Amino acid sequence: MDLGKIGFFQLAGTRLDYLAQRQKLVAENVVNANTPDYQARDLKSFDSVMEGIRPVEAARTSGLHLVSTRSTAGFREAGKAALWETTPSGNAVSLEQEMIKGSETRDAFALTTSLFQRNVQMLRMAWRNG
Amino acid sequence: MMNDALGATLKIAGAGLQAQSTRLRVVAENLANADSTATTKGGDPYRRKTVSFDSMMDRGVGAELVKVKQIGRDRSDFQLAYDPSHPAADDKGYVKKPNVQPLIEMMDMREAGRAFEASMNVIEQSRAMMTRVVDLLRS
Repeated sequence: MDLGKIGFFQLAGTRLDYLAQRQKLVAENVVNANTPDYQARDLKSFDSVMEGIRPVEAARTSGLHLVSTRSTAGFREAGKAALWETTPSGNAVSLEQEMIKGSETRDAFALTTSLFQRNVQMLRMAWRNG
Repeated sequence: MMNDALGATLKIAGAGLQAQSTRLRVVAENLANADSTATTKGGDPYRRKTVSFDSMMDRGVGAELVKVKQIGRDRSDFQLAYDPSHPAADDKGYVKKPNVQPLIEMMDMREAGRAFEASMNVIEQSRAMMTRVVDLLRS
C-alpha cells in the first residue's frame, strides 16, 4: 500500500517539504544578516502551492548541465519578501523577523507531523478491527 | 528532499557561526591592541582591523552561505597624545595612538553576539524539526 496515494499523506508530505524549504531560507537570511546589500528571501504562501502554481525549471538536455542551485525544490519564492527594515549598508534582514518566521515554521512542522502520526494510528485501528 | 533541506540549514547556520566567530576574534584583537604603540621614534601604532562579509553560493549545500570576504585595515587617522618621554614620541613630543575606539568595538561585539545567537536558534529550530521526523518512524 502506498501512503503517498492517500490524499492526506500526500498533502502532509508536501506541507513538510514546504516548511523544510522555508526553514532553509530562514537560515540563509539569518547568516547573511551582516552581508551588505543582501535581501531577505521567503517562499510564497502554502496556498499558492496548493493552487498548482509551479515554477518553470530550465530543461536540462545533457547530464553535464548544472542543476539550478537557486531553486527551492519545487516551491516558488516570493518576488519580494515583506521586509521590516533596511540598514544603510543595503542589508534587509531583520533577525527578529527571521526568528519569528523560524518558530512559526517549527510549530507548523510539529503540527503537521502530529497529524501525520494521528492518521497512521487511525489506519492501524482500521486494520486491526477490519 | 525534506531532510536535505533541514540538513542544509545546519550547514548554513554553521557557516554563520564561523563567520561571527572570526568577527569576534578580530574585535578581541582590536581591543587587546587598543594601546599598542610603536617602539621606534615617530613610528605607526597598531591599525584597527575590520571584517567584511559576503554571501557565497555553496553548490554542495545548494544554498547561500556566508563567509568572511576580507579582513581589512581601518584607514582612519591615528590619535595623538603628548608624551615626550615615550620611545615612540616624535620631535614635538607627540605619540601616535591606535585608531581603536573601545565603544565601537563593544558595539561590534554585541552585534556579533546577537547574530551568533540567532544562528544557534536556527540550529535548535531545525533540530526540533528533525526530531519530529525521526519520531514519525517510531510511531
